[in-house]
Amino acid sequence: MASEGQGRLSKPVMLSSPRTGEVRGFICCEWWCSGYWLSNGSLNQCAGQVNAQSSLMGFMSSLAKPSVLPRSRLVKIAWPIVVRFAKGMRHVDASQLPEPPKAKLINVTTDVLVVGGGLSGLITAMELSRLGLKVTIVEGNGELGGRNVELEGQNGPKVSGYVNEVKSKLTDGVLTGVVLDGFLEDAAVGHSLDGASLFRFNYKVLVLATGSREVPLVFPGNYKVLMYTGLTYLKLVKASVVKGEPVLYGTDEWGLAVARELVKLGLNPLVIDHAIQPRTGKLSDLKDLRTLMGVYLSGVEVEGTRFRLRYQVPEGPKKFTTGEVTGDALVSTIRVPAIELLAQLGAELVYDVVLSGVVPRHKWDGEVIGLKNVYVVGEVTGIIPLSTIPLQAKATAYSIAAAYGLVKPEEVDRAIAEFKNALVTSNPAILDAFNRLEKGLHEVGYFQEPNVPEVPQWASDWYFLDKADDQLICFCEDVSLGDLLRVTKEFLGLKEIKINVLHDEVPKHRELKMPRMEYIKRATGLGTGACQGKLCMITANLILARLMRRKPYEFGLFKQRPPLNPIPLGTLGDAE
Amino acid sequence: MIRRVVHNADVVVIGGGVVGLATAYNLAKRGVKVALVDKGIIGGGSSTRNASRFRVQFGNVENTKYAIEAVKELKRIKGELNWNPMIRRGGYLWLFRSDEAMRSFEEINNSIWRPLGVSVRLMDGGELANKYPYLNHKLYVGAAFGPQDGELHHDYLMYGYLSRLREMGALIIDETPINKISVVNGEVKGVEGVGAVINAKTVIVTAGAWSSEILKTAGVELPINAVRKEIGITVPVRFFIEPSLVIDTHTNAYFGQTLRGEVIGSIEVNEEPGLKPFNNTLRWLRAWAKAMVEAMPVSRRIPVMRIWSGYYEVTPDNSHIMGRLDSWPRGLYVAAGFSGHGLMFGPLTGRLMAEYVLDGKLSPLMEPFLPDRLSKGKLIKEHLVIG
Repeated sequence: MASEGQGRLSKPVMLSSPRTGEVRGFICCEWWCSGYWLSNGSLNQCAGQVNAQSSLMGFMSSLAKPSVLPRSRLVKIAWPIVVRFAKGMRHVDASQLPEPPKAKLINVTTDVLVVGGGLSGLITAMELSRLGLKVTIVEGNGELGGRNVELEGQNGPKVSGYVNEVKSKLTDGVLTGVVLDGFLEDAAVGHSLDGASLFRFNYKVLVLATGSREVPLVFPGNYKVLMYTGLTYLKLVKASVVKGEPVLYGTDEWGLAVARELVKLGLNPLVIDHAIQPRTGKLSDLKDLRTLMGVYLSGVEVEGTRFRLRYQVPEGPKKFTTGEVTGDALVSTIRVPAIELLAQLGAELVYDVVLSGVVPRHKWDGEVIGLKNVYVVGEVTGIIPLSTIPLQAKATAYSIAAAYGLVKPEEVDRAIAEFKNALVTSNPAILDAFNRLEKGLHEVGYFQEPNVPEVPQWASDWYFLDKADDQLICFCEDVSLGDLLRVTKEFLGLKEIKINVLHDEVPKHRELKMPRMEYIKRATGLGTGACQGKLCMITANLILARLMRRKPYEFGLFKQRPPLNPIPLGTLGDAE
Repeated sequence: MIRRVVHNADVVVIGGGVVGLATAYNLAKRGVKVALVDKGIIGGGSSTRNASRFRVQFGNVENTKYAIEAVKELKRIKGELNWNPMIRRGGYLWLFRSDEAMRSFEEINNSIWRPLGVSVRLMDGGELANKYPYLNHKLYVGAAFGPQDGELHHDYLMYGYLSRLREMGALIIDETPINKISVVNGEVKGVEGVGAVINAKTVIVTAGAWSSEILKTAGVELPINAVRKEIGITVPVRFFIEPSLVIDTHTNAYFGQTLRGEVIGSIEVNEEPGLKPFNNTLRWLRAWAKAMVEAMPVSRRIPVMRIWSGYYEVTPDNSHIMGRLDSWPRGLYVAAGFSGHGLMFGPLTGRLMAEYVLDGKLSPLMEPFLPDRLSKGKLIKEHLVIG
C-alpha cells in the first residue's frame, strides 16, 4: 500500500489538516510517513492518491486547537453543534482505502534478525553470515541500501557492493517491503507493506539497525511552507519531478552530503543552520558550499511557489539583526534516531547532545543492558560519523558471534578497539560521550545528564514564544508549541511560565516536578496520530526541556505501541 | 536512600483513576483536606485504557438503576469541570445472530429496562440492513438500539477532575506506589509509600485492579481479580459509524468510532486472571481482526494503528464493591471491582462515597453494592459484560 508510490514518484500533494483545513506543507515520501499521510486524508503524498480536502471556517479553527477545544467554555455550550463539525472532519473514506489482497501468515525462523537494510544493517548481516550464523534482514523499503544509496559515488559510501553481497549470500534471508511491527507477548510480528503477508519472526538475537529519520523543522509558520525531507528531495530531484532553489537546513554529515549531491545535480542550494559552526565539528566541511550560519528562523511568507524566510541573528539580550532568504523549497536534513522499536522493548533511552541522538541504555559495543539478546547498531545509537559505522557493525557482529563460540574473545576486543580508535580520530567528543554513557550505565544510572546547552536540531527558540501557536510540532494532530506550553502550564498548576528571568530570581516552575510526556500526549493528542509520534516525539521532548530549562528525561517519552506501521484489519484477519 | 516526605491530610484516596478522582473531588468540595496518590500517572491505570463508552442497560435492576443515575451525574458534572468530557449520545447497537438471543434480550427489556424507563428499541434484519448498510446484514437476524447510551473522552474527564482538585488545593502525588496502609489498634493511621508517608484517619481504596493487594496490607481480603483485556484502534477514517458502540452479542466483539475518526474495538478472548504485564497478543489481534471483518466487511481495508491492554477488576458477580464492613479497621473504605464499568460509574460513585464517608449517609442506590453481600451470599449476578 504505502510502498506503491516508491517506484513512480510524481509531484507530491500538499496535504491539509482534516481538523482545520490549513495546509500541511511537509513532504515526505518514505514508507514511515504513511501514517502522516493517512492522518491528513491522503493515501500517498507522492503518488497523488486520494486527498480529502478540508474546509473549516477561520474562527472555528482557532477553537479547534488541541489545547483549546477541551477547555473552551464556548465549545462546551455549543457542544451539540461542535459534534456535528467534528463528525465532518475530512479523512479518507473507509471505502476508498485499498483492499488488501488475501493475506498469508509466514513464519520466519532465523538465528539473527537484522531490522533495517541500510549501511549498518547490511554490514552486520554480512559479517554474521560470514561467521556462520543464519541471518534474516528486514527492510521497509523496496530496495536494500538505505538512504546512502542516493549518495553513491563521490559524496557517500559505496553501498551497492554491500547490497549485492548480502543479496547473493542471504538469498531467502532478505525481506524487502517488510516492516517489523513489534513485540507481542506470543510473537514478534511484521507485515509486508502491500498487505499480502503477515510475518511471525522467531529469532535468537535481534539487531536493530533502524537508523535515523528526518523530521520537520519547528519555527513560526513552519506548516505553511513547502518543506521536504532531504532524502525525499534528493529522490524527487533525481526523478526530475522537482527542480529549483532549495534552502537546506542542517549541517551534519548527511546534510552536507545532500547539499553536495544537489550541487552535483546542477542545483545551487543555500545551506543554513542556527549553529555557528557545522555540526560535524569541522569548519572546513563547509568549503565550496553557499552557507548562512548562526541564524534563527523567525517567520515565513509564502508567495505562490516561492517563499521568503525571515531570520534573526542574536546580538545580545533582546537585540537582533534580521534578514531574509528566498527559495522555493525548504529542505530539512535534521535527523532523529528511529527509536520506536527500542522504546517498545522498554529499553531506557538517554539523550546526548554530542551524539545528537537518543541513545539506548547500552554498552558502547551495542549490547542493550537488561535485554541480553538485543543489539543496537548504526545511527539509532546516535548520529555517529559514517566512517565508523562499518567498524561498529563489525564489533557488534563479533560480540554476537562470540556468544556462540564462533569468534575468539581477542578478536572481539580487537574489533572493538578498531571502532574506538576510529571514533577518537574522527571526533574525540563522540568517544567521550560514549564513555560517559558507558560509565553512567554501570554506576549510578545517568552519569551526566545532558544539560541541553542548545537544542541542537531545531530552529525554534524562546525568542519566538509569542508565536508559539504558529509553530506546529505534531503534523498529524495539529499540536503546536503553544498547545504544549498551555497544557504544561495547566499540569504544573501555574498561571504563567516565566522563561526569561533575572539572575537572582528563581522561576516558579524550576521547583516543580515536570509533567510527564504521557500526560502531555493524552491532553493534546501529540503522537496519537497515525504516524505514532515518529515525527514529533523527540522534537517535543527536546523543545520542552530546552524551554523549561530542564533535562529531557524529566519529561520522559510516551509509550510506543505496536504496530510500527498500520496493518490493515484484512491482512490480520485473513492470515492463517 | 530515598527521602520520604511526610504529609498530613484528613483523607487519603489511594488510586488516581476516575473513581479516586471523583471521590477526592467530592470530598474536597466539602472542604476536606484530601491527598490523592497513584503509583503511576493520574488516570494511567484502567481509567484511560478503556473504550470510553457508557450505557444504562444492565442485566439486573440494581446495576441498571445505578447506571441511570451515573449517566445523570456524568452529564451534571460536566458543568462543574474545566475540561469538556465531550459526551456524545450515539446509542449502543446490540446485534443478534439468532432469534433466541434476541428474545432473551427482549425479556430483559420488558422485565427490567422498560419499567425503569430505559427501554431499547428492537429492530428486525431488514431495518438493520437499511439503517446500517455497512454492517454484514446476512449475519444478523435483528438488533436492539439503546438511545440513552453514548461515549465520552476519558482523558478529558480525568483532567477535568484533576484540574479542579488542584484549584481547590488538594494534595496530588503521582508516581508514588503505596506499600502499606498503617493500622494501629484497629484504626487507620495513614499510608506509607515509596518516597512519601501520609498521615490520615481515613483511607479510601479506589485502586481498581490493584485494590485487593493494597487492602491485604490492612488485613482485609476482597475477591477482586485483575483480568487483562486488550483493545485496539485504527487510523482515522471519515466518520460513518453513527452508534457509539456496536456489539456482536454472539462473539462479544465490539467497536465504535471516535469523533476523531478512529475505529476502536476489541473482542473477548479467554485470559487467565492476574496482574499480567500490559502486553498484547497475536492471538487476540487476529481474533479481533477476524471478528471486525466479519461484522463489518469494509473494515478489511482499515489499518490498525495502535493496540494496548488494561485490566478489568472483576468480582465474583461482576458488580462493584463500595463502602466498608464493621470488621475492618476503623476509617478504611473501598470502592473498587467495577468489572469493566468503572469509567461510567465513577462520577456517581465519587459523590456517593463522599456522602457515605462524611455524613454516614447510605444511599439506596449504593446499598446493594456494600461488601457484606459477598459474605451474606446476596450476589447481584451481572451477565451483561462487554468485552
